[in-house]
Amino acid sequence: VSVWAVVLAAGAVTFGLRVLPLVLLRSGEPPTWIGRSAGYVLPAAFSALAASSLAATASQGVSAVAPVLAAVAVAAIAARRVGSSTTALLYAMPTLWLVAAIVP
Amino acid sequence: MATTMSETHTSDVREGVRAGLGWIPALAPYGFVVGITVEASTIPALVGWATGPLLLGGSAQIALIQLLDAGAAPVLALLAILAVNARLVLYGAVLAGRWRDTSIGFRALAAYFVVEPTFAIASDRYAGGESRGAHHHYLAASGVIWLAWQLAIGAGIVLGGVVPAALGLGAIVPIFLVADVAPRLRSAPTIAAAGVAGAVAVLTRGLPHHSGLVIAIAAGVAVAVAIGEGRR
Repeated sequence: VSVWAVVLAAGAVTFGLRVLPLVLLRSGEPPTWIGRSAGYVLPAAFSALAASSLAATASQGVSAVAPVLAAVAVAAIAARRVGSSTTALLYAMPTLWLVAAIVP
Repeated sequence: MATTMSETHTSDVREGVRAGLGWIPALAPYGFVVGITVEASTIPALVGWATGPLLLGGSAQIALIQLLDAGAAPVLALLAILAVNARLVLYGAVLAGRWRDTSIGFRALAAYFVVEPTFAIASDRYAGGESRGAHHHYLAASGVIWLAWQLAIGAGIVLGGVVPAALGLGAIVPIFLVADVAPRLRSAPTIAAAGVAGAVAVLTRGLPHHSGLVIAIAAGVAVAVAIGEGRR
């Protein structure tokens, strides 16, 4: 099987996953659990992705994870204060570089 | 009236473009990292770049590139993609109701664009009501994100070898995700959703092919719903 075939099949699988709920929920009222849980999917997903990434970095040692944790903390505080995740990056990245320079 | 409608849609598109541009500081470095992964692998650059338009999701692309580079069996690679991207079903389920009355063409295109940044933008915009304008907003934002993503991957493939690792570009994604979530944590159920999902993601990190992510998201949402129901 060529590499192209696998990549094309992976694209088809991914598109299938994206379309599946639209096909299943095409008619009738959506299940009530979707309405109740809709507002929580995004914070849960983003938190899970971030935590998983941080845990992977932590497995490389303190010197690898400390700058990222400091940057994440600064980003969270900045984002809550200014309400912009892009602006939060402007505070977080210098923090990352500073702590990386300090931590041995 | 027609002019007013047209102006409104232009405004929605403009706002959508702005919303999409807001994600570029996080997406461009991430796409660049995906490009570097392609450049460092043994798979042809064009095949690696094509994972961008075909999969449109960094974690799945990196997983697929690394598996192909390691010579994994095609079935294993596809199962990995299934596991990594299973969360897209949850996003689609949330958005399906918003797109029910649209054409098949719109639903297919809208579904193709579903990924974390577009889901975040859609969640915010559709919560504001007025579906038709929100559709324009979503497609405009998605188009910007799509284009930026493909360009960033290409740049990573071409320039990956000359960017210093000390810049820590790989850390931008978790930082940006946390920065996006932090302002949303304004109620006990939402805080529980993020806290439980984060904790479960760490605990299940050893599961194969990132499958713990789906468990973590489901656990966070379930706890949040339970808390929300208990407070009624």
